[in-house]
Amino acid sequence: MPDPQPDSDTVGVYLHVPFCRRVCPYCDFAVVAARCLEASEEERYLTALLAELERRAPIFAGRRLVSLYFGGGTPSLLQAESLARLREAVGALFPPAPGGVEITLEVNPSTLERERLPAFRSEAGVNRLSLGVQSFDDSLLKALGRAHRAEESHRTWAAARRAGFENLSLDLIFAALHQTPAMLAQDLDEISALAPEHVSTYELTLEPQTPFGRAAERGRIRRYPADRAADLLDTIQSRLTADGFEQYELTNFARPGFESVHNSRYWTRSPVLALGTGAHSSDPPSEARPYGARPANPRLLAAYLARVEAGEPVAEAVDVPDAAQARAEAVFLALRRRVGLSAEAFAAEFGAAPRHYFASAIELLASRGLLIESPEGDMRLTQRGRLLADTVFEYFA
Amino acid sequence: MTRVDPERIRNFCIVAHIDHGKSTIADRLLELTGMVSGRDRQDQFLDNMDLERERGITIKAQTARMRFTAADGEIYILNLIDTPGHVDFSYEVSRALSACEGALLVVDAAQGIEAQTLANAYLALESNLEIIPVVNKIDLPSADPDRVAQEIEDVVGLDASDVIPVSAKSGQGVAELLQVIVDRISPPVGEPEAPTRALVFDSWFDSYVGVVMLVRIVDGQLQRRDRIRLMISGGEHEINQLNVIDPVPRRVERLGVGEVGMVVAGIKTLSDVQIGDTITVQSRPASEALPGFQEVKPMVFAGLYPVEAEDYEDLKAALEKLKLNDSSFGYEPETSAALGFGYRCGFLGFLHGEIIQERLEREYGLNLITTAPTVRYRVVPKCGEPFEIESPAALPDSTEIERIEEPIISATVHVPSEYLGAVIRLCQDRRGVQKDLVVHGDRVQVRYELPLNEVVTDFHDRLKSATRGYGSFDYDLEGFRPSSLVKLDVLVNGDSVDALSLIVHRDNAQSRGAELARKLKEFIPRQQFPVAIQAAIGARIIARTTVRALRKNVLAKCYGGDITRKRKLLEKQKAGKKRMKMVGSVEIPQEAFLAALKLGDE
Repeated sequence: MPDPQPDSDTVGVYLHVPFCRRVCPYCDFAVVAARCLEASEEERYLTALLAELERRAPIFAGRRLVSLYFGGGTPSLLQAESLARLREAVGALFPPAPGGVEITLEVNPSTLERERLPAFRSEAGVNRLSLGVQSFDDSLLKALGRAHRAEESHRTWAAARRAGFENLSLDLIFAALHQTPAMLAQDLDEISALAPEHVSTYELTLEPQTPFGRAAERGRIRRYPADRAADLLDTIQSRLTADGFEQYELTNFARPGFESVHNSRYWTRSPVLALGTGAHSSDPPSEARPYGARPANPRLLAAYLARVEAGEPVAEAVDVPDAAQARAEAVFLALRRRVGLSAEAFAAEFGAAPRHYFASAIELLASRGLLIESPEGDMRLTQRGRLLADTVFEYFA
Repeated sequence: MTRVDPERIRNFCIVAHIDHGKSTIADRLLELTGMVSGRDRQDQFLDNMDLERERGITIKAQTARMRFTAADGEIYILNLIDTPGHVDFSYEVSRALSACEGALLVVDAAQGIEAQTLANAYLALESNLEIIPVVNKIDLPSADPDRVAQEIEDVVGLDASDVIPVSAKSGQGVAELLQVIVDRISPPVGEPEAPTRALVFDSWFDSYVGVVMLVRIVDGQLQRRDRIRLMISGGEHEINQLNVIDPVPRRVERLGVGEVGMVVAGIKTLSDVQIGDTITVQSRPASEALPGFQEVKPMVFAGLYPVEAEDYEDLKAALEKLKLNDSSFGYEPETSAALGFGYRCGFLGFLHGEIIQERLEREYGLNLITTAPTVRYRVVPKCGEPFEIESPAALPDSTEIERIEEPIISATVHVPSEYLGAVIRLCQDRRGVQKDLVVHGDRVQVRYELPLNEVVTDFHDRLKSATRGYGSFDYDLEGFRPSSLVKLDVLVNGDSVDALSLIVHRDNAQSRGAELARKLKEFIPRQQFPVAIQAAIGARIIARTTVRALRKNVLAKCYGGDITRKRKLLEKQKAGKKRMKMVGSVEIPQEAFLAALKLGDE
């Protein structure tokens, strides 16, 4: 697992692929529906990504590549050959780190992707798959507007193993719609049987700008009762832990050694070069921006393409945290992880230990059993603290 | 300036149910007598506010002196006297009425007699005024003036043939009305040679000249430079201006018997002048003041707190300004552990309180929390002198108290008979004792003795909704009576929330306490620990509920783009928390106080 501090000598690259066969009614990512992706459209987007890569790479120059992540949308809609071209271009700019490069691809359980899996591995060098399984309950999948059913998840899973993938992650949704504890228990049984290396959990959130969010506002979808969601979270934690997973981050579980290299970069505030629509980079600190910066790309495909093709700066907004904001981020991101916050690393970056800035918050939260502070000043959340993380984080904002 | 013959003066007011056209009729009368209407003057006045304030004197919209040439060829002076609009000011209304010899009772030709019509008619009858029934809006398609005239005869007891049909909108009948005023209303009667007695029936503060008193000369006369004495309050002043209002203030040298005018006498604060006082002239003082004076004392009290602590100074400035123009309310600083710094304010009645609060919020842009209104209680301690308290916080421990006395009112409700049952239920619910019940046609007048504290919170609203707006309500203070009263406290995790303490009747304590606890529970967000909400009388807990601890507050994922969003969300949440009030370690949002203080609304 990476150190609990910014890993500034390396870089992770995120490539966003906005295309989806259909848009899920709860999704608020930057996506476009494309029933079938035209070759010309794919080529145009690919060209834009490569152009943006060339333009943005110098800020990250001299860093070794530790992760490459194809996210979306549905990046598995791209041809293996396209992924290979992207990978080569990234590799040409950033030499691989000595420990190797984690190359993740998000995959939807479907026939098309299933057939491409061997090529993704052999041609594009993908060595980790994140499968958008969500649930094995067909009624829930249907209600969520997903195209696939449990049967397809099983087949895709088997195909991935057959293709030689040894690092598989799956997404598990919970506190969603009519999901019952029994339904979740069933999902956990299935997970137990499949024995993935990594599980990402997602509580269904009803974002305002989505069809589900609007339906919830009109009272047509019921928000999941918080106490029942807490029960489900309890079940997930105890079951996955019993199955040999560690909750290494609030919403992520892994077998030892299979923590996501890429996603850990966000929680350690390490540099990430993110390309494509709606992508948010974490630029490394510079003299002008001692705490780095987070440029945000346009979410709309047309706007993104227009900017890249016109040679304009791509980001439409840049968040440049000041010292106080950076401290808040350092704390709440580190506390998301089981290893927690290192007082030493914090002091190295901000000149003084966390206690110097947050003494009363730390004492209050520790006295309420939400947080544990070591004699060295390191901090991590307790089990209760993990359930009330957003309440805890507020004290550091 | 020639002396005005009292025989040529008519003093009158207009009383009406709300929306039946009082202002429109007043405007028409002014226009027909060649004057700018009250509303135009008001608009004009507002347009030139700053300048006018420097030059002129503020006036009240509807008070005016008109000249009218009657059928006999003589010129008459008609003084239209404005009356305040609602029950808390019934004393002021009665003073204004006593400055008149007649009243126009205006009834809407389509809607007929409504509750307020009766209440107003009775007020006018009690003041021995000549009442001219006027049916207005006869131009409306739905108008039925004959039916309404008959209703006036049946219900109020005025002759239907005396009813004057008018349309203030078109002007139809208004000229005739002026002649009727001259014909039917008696001229003022007074002794021109007797020692001066002038009734102060209204007063206000003008930033340029100070206090302005609106007076009606009963006996004798007032002249500029007269040294005057306020017979009740005892103040002595010199008149530096006398004005009549026709249509804007016009200076005159003297006011004689029956005349109405404004007196400016270098008085700096409004509280030095009491409505109902009698002005006499120092050189030849009257021996007896005019009858009917009552001291006006605040009866209803509430704490006003700014929602934002930094608005405290603004609240203070606003109260000072309001007080300049309304001597009937008072305020003093008060501190609440839960709500911070604010003011304890006293009002004539609950409507008065609502008006003040509304003005503070609307005119001064303040965002306020108002604690539950309470009344003045008389506490008789086991040893020592009886004293009065205006706040639950001031009530000593029950072991030190012999008894508590509460103010009792005599309340009169006028209501269509179909709603009588609802009114009786409401009054009984509020510990009322029925005193009498009189039926007028399909209207009923019912009188109850009620504890004032049962009336201050929402009695009026309840009455209005139980009678679909037709019930009208009026009250007089009867006196104090011993009662089984207790102080109800609300505790949050053991800490008392002082702003929510109430004095209630023992029989109601249980239900009020439970309701308070329930309301608070609804609005206190779940926290990291369980929050016990208790209602207590002294050390005895009478109601209890718990806000369970928050079990889970963590939203999903946090990857690339989520970080900025997440941080901003946390910053926003934290800012929101700053607006919460801390009671012990419990964060209580403003809405919880507002909701708890609005008890019994649903």
